[in-house]
Amino acid sequence: MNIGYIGNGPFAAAAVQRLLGNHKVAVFSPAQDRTLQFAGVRVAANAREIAQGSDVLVLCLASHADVRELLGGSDGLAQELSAGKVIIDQSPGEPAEARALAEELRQRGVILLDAPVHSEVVDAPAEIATLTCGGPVDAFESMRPLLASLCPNVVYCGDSGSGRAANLVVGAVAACNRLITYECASVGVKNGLALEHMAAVLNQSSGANSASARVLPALGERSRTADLSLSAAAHELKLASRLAMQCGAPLLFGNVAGSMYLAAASRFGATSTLDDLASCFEAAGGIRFQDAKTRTTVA
Amino acid sequence: MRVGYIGLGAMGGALARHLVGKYTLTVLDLNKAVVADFEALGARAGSSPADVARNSDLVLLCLPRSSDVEKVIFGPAGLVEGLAAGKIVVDQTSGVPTETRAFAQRLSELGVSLFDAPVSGAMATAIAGTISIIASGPHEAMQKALPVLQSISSNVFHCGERVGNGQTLKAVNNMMNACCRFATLEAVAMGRKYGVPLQALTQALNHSTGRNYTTTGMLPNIAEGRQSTKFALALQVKDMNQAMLLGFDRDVPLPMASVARGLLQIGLNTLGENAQLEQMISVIESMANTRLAPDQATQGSARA
Repeated sequence: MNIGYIGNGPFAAAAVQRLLGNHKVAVFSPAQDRTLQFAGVRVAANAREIAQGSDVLVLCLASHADVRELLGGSDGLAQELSAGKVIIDQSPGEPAEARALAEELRQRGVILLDAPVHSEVVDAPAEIATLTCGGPVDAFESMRPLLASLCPNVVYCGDSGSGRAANLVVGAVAACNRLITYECASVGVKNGLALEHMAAVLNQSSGANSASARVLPALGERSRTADLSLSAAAHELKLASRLAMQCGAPLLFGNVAGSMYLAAASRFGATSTLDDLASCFEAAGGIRFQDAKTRTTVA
Repeated sequence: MRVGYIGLGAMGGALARHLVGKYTLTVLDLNKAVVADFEALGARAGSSPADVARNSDLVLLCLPRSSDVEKVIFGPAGLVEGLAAGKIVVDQTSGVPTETRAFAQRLSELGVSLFDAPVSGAMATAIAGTISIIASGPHEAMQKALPVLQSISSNVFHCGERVGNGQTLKAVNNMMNACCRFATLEAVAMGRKYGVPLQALTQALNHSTGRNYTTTGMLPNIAEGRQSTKFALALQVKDMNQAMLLGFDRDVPLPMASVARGLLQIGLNTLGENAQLEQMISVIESMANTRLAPDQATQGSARA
């Protein structure tokens, strides 16, 4: 199968690399991102060239607006797609927008699957990356092997938009896990606990979560636990808040988390990642996690 | 070693049960029936805290709160009247760390070591002897008490020599658990209201950084129609308040815990003082006007 991949950024590059094992891949990066140009990849000059030469088009752009621009803008990529082609859209966006786009494309005989991957790290081990897919179930089944090569954990969530909705649920819980872990670690450190003891006990107890497992052991050294940028995560949380408004759900924690991510993204800038959140909690609590790795003081 | 156990409530009773037959055991509780059960198993009934202390080298306490611990140690016919240098007091109460440290300080003047060893986990794990015991205190006293603690559970953590750390860590765990539980349930409620099946959400969460104790435990249980927790909501509110005070007393901002505490308080006020934690599922559902459990007839979809 000929795959055309249109995307930008490190997560797109990692996806292209995974596809290369099983497929012929041509790439086009609207942002001229050269990291997608692996050996064996055909680099297309423009999006049209990709659309004409591929059976399946995979999109991994920063927002739904970018997807719209690519498909319907001056380049008019949608005009180039012949009936029977499949678009797998990994870009973040509102479920309702995916539904509307899927319907427009369906009228031209083109199938759209919304299939975002939730992952905080580029080289994520299988247990912390999941692809949630929405769209016609038969199209999903025929694309399942390809989706599985993008991400080992593939979950079918229902018709168009459902993949994005599930992705936003996962994103909200993941953000809360991380913020809760920093917040609880701050309370512990301020009250004299060592990070090593918190990591040992909490990860064997009912407080255990993905962030406590990965972040607590790394917090003393401030080692890397995430590649995901704060701005991208904040964008996804904003989408979750919008979904909450649209379907009438309170999302108390998710909305607070979104505001905290947004504040941190503004403060630390474009190159910051989720790991920079630790500094927010250090400043807020007047602590330094590096001083609390181990503690020997007897009081 | 002669061992005493004071406070044979649901948790204390389950913990003390593991000491029967292994040590010369003296027990004390206000509930005469429970004491009689222990006597039938071969334990001796103490007549007062002082009497328990006189007949024990090590006394464990598991009481409702730190104020009860103070009364048992320093009140009329209290432990102090029977304690002597070299004896050890282990406080398994989910108490207030600063108060426990103060008790330890006062007893140290008598040559008595007191340290905290609260437990964290479900009642079933207490009965099975696998509950987490989170102990903190001076190395020497800890080493002497360790065989007794290990008789109660195979999972003993020693988190530092500073008395009270165990209680702090237990409170932090409670807070982490409650925050993650409700952050998960409210986000899943949104996904369910949109129309995503619970099984799909659960599967996605459990293979992502969204994974936590609730996604692996409570969500599959909801899908299967099983109960996950057996805990009074009022106690969860008390635990949450206690944990938050640890933050507030030291000026740590608590945005996530504040939301969780607010939800728990709303739940308790809405459901009544006898409510169970499990009933919070219905509170989350009604707040979002949806159902978390799979609904075979109508997928419960309210499209945005």
